[in-house]
Amino acid sequence: MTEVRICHLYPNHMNIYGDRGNISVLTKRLHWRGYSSSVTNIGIGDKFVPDDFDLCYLGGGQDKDQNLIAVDLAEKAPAIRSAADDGIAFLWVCGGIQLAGKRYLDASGSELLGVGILDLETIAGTERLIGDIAIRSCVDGAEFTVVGYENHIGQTYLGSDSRPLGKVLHGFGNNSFDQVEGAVQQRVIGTYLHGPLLPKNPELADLILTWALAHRTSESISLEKLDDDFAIHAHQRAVARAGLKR
Amino acid sequence: MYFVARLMGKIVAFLSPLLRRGGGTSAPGMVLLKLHPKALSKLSRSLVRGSVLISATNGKTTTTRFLSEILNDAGVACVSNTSGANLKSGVATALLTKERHQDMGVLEVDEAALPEVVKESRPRMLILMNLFRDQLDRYGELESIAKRWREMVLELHPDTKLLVNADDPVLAAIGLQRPGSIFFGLGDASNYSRDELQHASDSSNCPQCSAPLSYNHVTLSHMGDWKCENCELSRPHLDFATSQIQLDGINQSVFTILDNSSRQEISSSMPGLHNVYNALAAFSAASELGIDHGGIASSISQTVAAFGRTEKVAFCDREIHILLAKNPAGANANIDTLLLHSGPLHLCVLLNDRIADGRDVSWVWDVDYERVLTRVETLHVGGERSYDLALRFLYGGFEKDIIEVADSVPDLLDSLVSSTPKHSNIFVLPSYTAMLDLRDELVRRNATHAFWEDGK
Repeated sequence: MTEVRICHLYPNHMNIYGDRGNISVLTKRLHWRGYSSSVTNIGIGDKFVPDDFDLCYLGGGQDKDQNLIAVDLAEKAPAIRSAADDGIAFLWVCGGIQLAGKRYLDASGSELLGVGILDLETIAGTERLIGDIAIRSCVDGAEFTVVGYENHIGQTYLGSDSRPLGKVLHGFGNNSFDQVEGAVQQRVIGTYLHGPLLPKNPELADLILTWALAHRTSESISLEKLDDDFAIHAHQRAVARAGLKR
Repeated sequence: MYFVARLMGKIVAFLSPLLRRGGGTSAPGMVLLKLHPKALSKLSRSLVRGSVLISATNGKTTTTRFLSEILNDAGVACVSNTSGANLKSGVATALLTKERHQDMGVLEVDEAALPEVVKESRPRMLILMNLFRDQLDRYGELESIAKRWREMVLELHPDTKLLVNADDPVLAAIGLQRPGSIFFGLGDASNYSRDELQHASDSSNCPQCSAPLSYNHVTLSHMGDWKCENCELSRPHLDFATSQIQLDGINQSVFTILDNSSRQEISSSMPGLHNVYNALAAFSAASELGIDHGGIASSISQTVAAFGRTEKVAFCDREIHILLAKNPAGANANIDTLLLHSGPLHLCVLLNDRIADGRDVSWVWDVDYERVLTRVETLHVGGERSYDLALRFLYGGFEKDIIEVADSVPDLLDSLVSSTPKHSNIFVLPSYTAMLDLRDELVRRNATHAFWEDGK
């Protein structure tokens, strides 16, 4: 049985918005299709070995915790960059997208270096961007809507090497100006749609799983459909709340 | 000018019960504060015996209820915002519409509104009970509320007595800043403590040096008997401590409270460890206010739950238990309580995303619903975010077939009745406005009273 090896980075510090929901979705959707999975928690002081994983998740945390892990993350950065180059699937949400970028400039103007697996930088804004968000994504030929909730003060700007995850249909997105959300580069996805975004967005979950399986097996695998009845309802209601037509 | 503002507020108070749900628990104060922004300090001065302010993420309403019952029974006439309107406007409304003989205030205050209310009303006593992650879209991070509370305590008037839950590391550190703080906590919780922190624990790092804390026991979320191995900060000495806690299912709990010189047996009809904290906080406050311990115990034993807080409603030969669950720590405490029940669990979880609930419903993924997985016989989900809950349970390992999604409250009640045998206990965990919606329908079907008539 093919096993997908998932790395959950800093689960004790970066878990503020029900981030573990995303891990449940990844492991359950593998399990329902007859694949097995393992989840390894990698925290402060633990070694990150790229060869050990097919998928890497990082969630959001309080500012205090984000600052705490940033120091440790800097030490892991070379290994993480090599994992991204090696084709491991990444989903880094909320604080994660900022840490995946090149740098973060905080309100006082001091610079915090990111890992650099996404070509983007973030500058602290003056107002938090909070609320329901819906975006239209087109990644690897698949087109789908992604719905969720954002809450961030950072304003993120993409460089030329990364593409947005989607066009904003409702909400803010990366910053107050560009009308795009998230970033994709290689198999790395960063997004401000925080916490449990995968339950309501099975297409995105399956895209990430396809990437992880491709890394694991070196083959391109097409995943069988699942009964996504609840997800479709939840997704449609979110789209309706955003005042959009499907 | 104040006189006119006050009159206007009173007129609104007279009219608003006629209007609609809410029974005018905030509007009069809102009008008054609009016309006279300093009204709260004036109103507070009208309380001859001063006021006690109570704040927390969870347990405000129940603790306020315990304490006001104790004081009223002891002959101290108290005004209280029992309907849970706890913003500045709600506090002002309670004081504006109080009866003439009520000369002391026992008031719950929203966490974010607390610093301002404290500053203006200069309370006689302030009780800080807990801080958990809650409505991050509205309150921001826990740390930002904690920071504001820290500053508030440094500026407290010297006459204000501060009571702090020592089991919450962040609050204990805030209390330790100020000499003379009174600390309460669960001294011996060995029967009910857990070995490890729950997933949704927020403040498990040392408030002084950020090193991970170690615990002799963990009670709820990040609360317990904590110690920092790095900087030696530890839970302060408990002025009021519980011991010999016995949680008797969903019916009652029995425990002993020790202070420096005496011990008092307590029995309460409010189940669960979280209510032990609430009773302990009220006991400590009443004791500090000079009420005799026997009297306190007797009042606690007679206090029944506030609306929606482990409230029992008889409905169609079934008993509906409404356990308000508006954040991970509160929901987890309720799940602990459900697990004390020995029979089959008929569970119903309701989730709305209105402002009072928090627009962001991510938090349901931080609740350990999986712990009741093997005990649940029927499962209903409802509210505006019913399908988010359906997904939560599906990915939590519950079979899709048992997850019943209700589209409306009337449908929900009908389905609860048709899917459970007579005399069943049905446990409903609603978010705040989902609780109000449910109660509205139960009121409509004559099963209970409107919430603003609660405690009257």
